[in-house]
Amino acid sequence: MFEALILQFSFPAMMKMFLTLSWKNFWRSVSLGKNLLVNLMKGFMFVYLSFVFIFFGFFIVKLISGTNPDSNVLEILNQYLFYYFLVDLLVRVLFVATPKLDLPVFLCLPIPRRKLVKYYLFRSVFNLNNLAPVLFLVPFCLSFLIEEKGWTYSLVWSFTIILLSFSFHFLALFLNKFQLKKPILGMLLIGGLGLFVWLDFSNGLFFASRFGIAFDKFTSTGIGLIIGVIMLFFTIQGSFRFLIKNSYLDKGLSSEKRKIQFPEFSFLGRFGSLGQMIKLDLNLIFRNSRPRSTLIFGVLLIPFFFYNFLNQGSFWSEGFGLIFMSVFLLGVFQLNYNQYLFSWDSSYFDFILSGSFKTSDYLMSKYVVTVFFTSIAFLFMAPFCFFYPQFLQYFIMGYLLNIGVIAYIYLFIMTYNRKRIDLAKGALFNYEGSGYIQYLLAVPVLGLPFLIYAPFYFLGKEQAGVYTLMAFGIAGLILHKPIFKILLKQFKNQKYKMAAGFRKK
Amino acid sequence: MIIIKDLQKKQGRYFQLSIEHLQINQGESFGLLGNNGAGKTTLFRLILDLIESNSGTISIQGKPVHTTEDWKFITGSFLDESFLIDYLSALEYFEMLGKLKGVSKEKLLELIETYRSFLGDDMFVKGKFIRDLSKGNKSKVGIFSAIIGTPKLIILDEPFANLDPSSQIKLKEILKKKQREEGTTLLISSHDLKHMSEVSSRIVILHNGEIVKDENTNENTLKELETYFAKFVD
Repeated sequence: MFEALILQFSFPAMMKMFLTLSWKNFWRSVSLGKNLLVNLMKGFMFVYLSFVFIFFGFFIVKLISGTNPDSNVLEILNQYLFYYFLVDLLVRVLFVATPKLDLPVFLCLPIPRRKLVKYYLFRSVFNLNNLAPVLFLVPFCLSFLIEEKGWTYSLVWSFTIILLSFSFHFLALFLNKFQLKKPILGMLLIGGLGLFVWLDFSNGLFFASRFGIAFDKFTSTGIGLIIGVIMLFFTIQGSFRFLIKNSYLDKGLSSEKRKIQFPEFSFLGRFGSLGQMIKLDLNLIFRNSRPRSTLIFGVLLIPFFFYNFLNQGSFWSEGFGLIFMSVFLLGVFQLNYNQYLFSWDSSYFDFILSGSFKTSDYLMSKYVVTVFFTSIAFLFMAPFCFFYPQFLQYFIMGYLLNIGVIAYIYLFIMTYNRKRIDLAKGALFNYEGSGYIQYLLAVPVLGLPFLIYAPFYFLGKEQAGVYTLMAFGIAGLILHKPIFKILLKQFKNQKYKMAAGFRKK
Repeated sequence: MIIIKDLQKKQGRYFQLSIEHLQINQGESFGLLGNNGAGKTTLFRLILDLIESNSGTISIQGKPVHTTEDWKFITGSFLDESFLIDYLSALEYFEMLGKLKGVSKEKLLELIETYRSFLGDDMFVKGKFIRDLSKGNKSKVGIFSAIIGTPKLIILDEPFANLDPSSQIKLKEILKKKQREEGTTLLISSHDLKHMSEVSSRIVILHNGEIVKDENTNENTLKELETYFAKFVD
């Protein structure tokens, strides 16, 4: 039992092995360029946030006494600790990625399972969330607390916070294993936090101030330290045991297995090979977690944009803002789903290339699915125009532009996408399949409508601008055949490179 | 059926495959052998237009695969799992292929019944997707999908791998029958010399991307093959 607490390894060699493997994994990864950029950003964020914490450590006293000159700084700080702990737990559960360790590879090697799990726990400790309290506490104690309360109080106070924060870390590791239920867990936690704040402020339950008083007492009596140690002990034990139990292939390590009935779309079977491809696309969306959640996230954005729409006089309710909004709202499907077009099919792309159907049918199916979802978006928006008829022309413009211009842009540009997507993985913070292409897309997709509209806007002929945009959409629909010829040629030129990229895991 | 001319595929400066001339006739059962890295899968991928050659042409029924798509409708193929759409159930995948190849549902169900002893029951359990199947069953799904629609040409890359012994025997019978009764052209690669000498009417050995042996099979083939591959042992 005691073993779990000692996070030291009798085999430094094993540590070295794992670290070398992670190192190689990073440098030899197919998406090295992207990883480098992402890590550079991460490094920058790390340094920036570290400075923020140190800054607050030094200056929080001034900040608090600046807003509440007559108050006791420590008392207020103790109260806020309550929320700090809640937010800390929330952030850890939702955002902190646990370190990667490909357990299945190591399970059969002569390394004891317990040791593997210990290493995993050990590695997980090194992240900014765990460093943050230290970065804050050291300057805070040095500049204020030691002078005010003496060494003993400062040390006990700091260590209680650190111990509690660390136990949250291990608790979060445990909770992290419920990956699939993460959104629900997150919502529960956010809801809980909201409820606390509400009760605290409006109903006079004073959780925070009671917590503050209790925390002060715990610190001066030293009970806080004992509670911290006990909590840390149990959370380490808990996560250790939990991980040991789940380090089997059919437990936590296995991929998601579903036995749920999904819609069958059998009516599409009547429409020949095109119908088959469309059916395949719909099945793809409904049966796999990533595309499904990608779509759901997209739909969740709609209310936000609607809110801005109705906010008369705001940037979004006129001019460029309104154009953007209309194109965006009608194109929610494209912007979310088509930004990974072709990548969705990456795991069976060889079949797509050699199956008994024409490549043109495949491309056409992608287009038809886009039109289908854009039309659904339009039908959803249409009733809105009974109350606000002035928006109807904008919706029509957005619809035409999306199916007559933007859909083609996606079909063309996405042939440069070579990134494989593993369909079974979730969508939350999953950037698999993303590359510079997704950022580049914004230029033509959002820039083009602006570019067309801008001259009319600056000449004061906004109405003519809207009509011109519509005309572009209609022209795209009329020129469908020649445009598709170009798209087909482009796809055929790029397909070998796409297939080669998609084969790389 | 298939004519390959001056085909070259390079990776960097090295030749993955270099075939000056190869003709595979209609109804031939063509077995491809070679140690790992010899270029078997590369050749199959080139025939199926999945990768681009550096030079040369491959044509199926006189039409180059690179520029036409007609060959897709007479070819059934299964190279690896990247041919399987794993979020469909086996039956749905078969139905989809059936529709694409113009096989009615009744005909398809009949076909499944004919091959039932090979396919087994496990893959037809309701709610089970291809991604939930064992490796062997995934192979069976792939092999059967290549057979649907009586294609004139069937291309299978190591179809015997992952199959249990009984299924291997059944697969041999299926392939022989296809060739004998329907005149199907078969292109099969495998590391199992015995299976290959039984199924194939002609065997080609690739070594470092080049054809080093091209012979029709006879009663001595197995022995010759064993002698040939034994020489790499030391």
